[in-house]
Amino acid sequence: MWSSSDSRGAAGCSLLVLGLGASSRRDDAIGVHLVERLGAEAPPGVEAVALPDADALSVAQVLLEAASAALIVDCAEMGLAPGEWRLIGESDLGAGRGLGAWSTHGVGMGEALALARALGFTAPVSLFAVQPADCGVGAQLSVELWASMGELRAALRQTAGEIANCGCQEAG
Amino acid sequence: MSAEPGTHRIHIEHVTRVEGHGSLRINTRAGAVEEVRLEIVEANRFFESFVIGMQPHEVPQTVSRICGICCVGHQLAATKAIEAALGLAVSDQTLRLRKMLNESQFLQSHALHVYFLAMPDYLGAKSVLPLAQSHPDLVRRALKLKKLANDYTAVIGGRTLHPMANTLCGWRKLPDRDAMAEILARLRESVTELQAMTEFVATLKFPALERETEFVSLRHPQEYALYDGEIVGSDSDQLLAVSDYRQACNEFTVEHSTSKWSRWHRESYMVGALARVNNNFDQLHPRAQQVAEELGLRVPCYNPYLNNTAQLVEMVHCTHHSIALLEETLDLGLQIEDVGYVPRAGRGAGAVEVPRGVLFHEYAFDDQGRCCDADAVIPTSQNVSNIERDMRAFVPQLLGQVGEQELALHMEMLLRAYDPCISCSVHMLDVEFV
Repeated sequence: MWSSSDSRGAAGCSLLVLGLGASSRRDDAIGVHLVERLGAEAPPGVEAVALPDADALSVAQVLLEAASAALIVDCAEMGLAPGEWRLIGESDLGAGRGLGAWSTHGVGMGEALALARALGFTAPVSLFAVQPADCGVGAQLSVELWASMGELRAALRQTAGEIANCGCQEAG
Repeated sequence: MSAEPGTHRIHIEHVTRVEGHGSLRINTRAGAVEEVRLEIVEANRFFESFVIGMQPHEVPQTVSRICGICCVGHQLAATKAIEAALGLAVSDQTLRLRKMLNESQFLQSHALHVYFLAMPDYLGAKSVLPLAQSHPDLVRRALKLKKLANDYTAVIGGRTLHPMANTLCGWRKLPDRDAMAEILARLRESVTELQAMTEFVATLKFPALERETEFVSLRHPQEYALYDGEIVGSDSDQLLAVSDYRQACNEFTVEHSTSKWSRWHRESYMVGALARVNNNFDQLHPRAQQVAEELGLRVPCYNPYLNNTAQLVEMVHCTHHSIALLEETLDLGLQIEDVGYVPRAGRGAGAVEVPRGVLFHEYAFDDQGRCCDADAVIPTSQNVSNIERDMRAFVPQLLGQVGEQELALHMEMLLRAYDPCISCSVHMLDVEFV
């Protein structure tokens, strides 16, 4: 786990930026790559935490411990060109869907968020979603996503800064 | 709902992730059991074929992918088997690291199963989510313990899922000292959390159903056997060498299951937490023994539902044992070791206890050091016959006492109590009465 927490608790609304993804599935780990890089250049009020290979229950626990607004950075199949990104609000994250399907493999992000909500996590959550090109087995990002890294880093830095500085915003 | 009293047609389809899919079929007529079948219908996955031709060090990382929950166990069993095949010895340092890695997996898996999968059964909930409303402190503690266990695996093994640090002869990248110290501090703190969990679980009411069976596990002369030992069955005092594991498993096939079944001294046996606690109770950490007492778990215990309480007992054991291992490791420090080896021909078997029971791997290598034969016998396949026999024994006891839905629920709870590698097991909650 990589973390940069220098500005946590500083003036203004703090924001937890969580980078998720499977480290052995190429572009699936784009969230981890981006948040690791954000750590060194995080805007004021932003804490960057990369959680490679984390299960959703761990994410729920991190949200509960942080108790601050959160921006989750992950890859998502959105039918866009590789490297394009979207900011997705919580209402579109599927919180609580498939609740009959709790299982060791089947705890999804929506369920984890629903669990955190049920346990009193009230801060807003949004998703910085990046379109992957290749989520096959491998440690390297695809050429397409490497080519987009500069642009994605800048977009994430700007998005995180805006959310962190806009008060208790309604994300997404 | 079936009309005739004592007549039920219960078909629970797609009991998923017994490394695949399975179904449960229970037919009774006029109070008599006509049919009870746990049907494992998943196709074979051919991991034993995938590794043919691989070099020895490639195999453990490959077979780790058999399961995301038991990845550490498959990796360790394969590592041990290959080291046996190639005549490779490991240092005390590596043994300590492997024991910690294995125990981190126990803490992960048991926390997940006891609190997130089994607990809702005993609190009348369909999932853990309603429990977050009704028992928030319980769920908060469970999340904290699960996260701690995940981080423990990552610190020792390099990452939470499919750790990369362990390899033949040692560790590719040694754990960071400060990170180990942090895990040690958190494990010490978690003792209080586990006590609170114990007090809560002690209030739960488990079905009072028993069936005598054989319990099979590893046994070690000096410690509660999780990483190493010889094979023991509760029907015999004789220990069996791991290399002779086939004499214990005696795998066979049945028409309604693509999973092999096992039997040893009788028609079926049980592996897992309850088997280990039954077979090796005296070697549990004293605090774990106390917890067993507080939970009403007295050996020999023939109630399979209490496998869940045995898992909690093992969480206590692993926590205390891991604290001792971490303290020792921090005292002694870690040294970079040579993990080079010379491939050669050979055959070897390895076994470790994983959360769901004893796991066997065996590999053979040709003159070029390429894998030419492989075998894996997983705990769930060893348990399947025992689960079905439990069901056959318990259904008649429940008929007339409970309705059809409760009967189905009891059988689902029984299956879940075994913690089969049905990782996505909740599909089986779709109960269809025909």
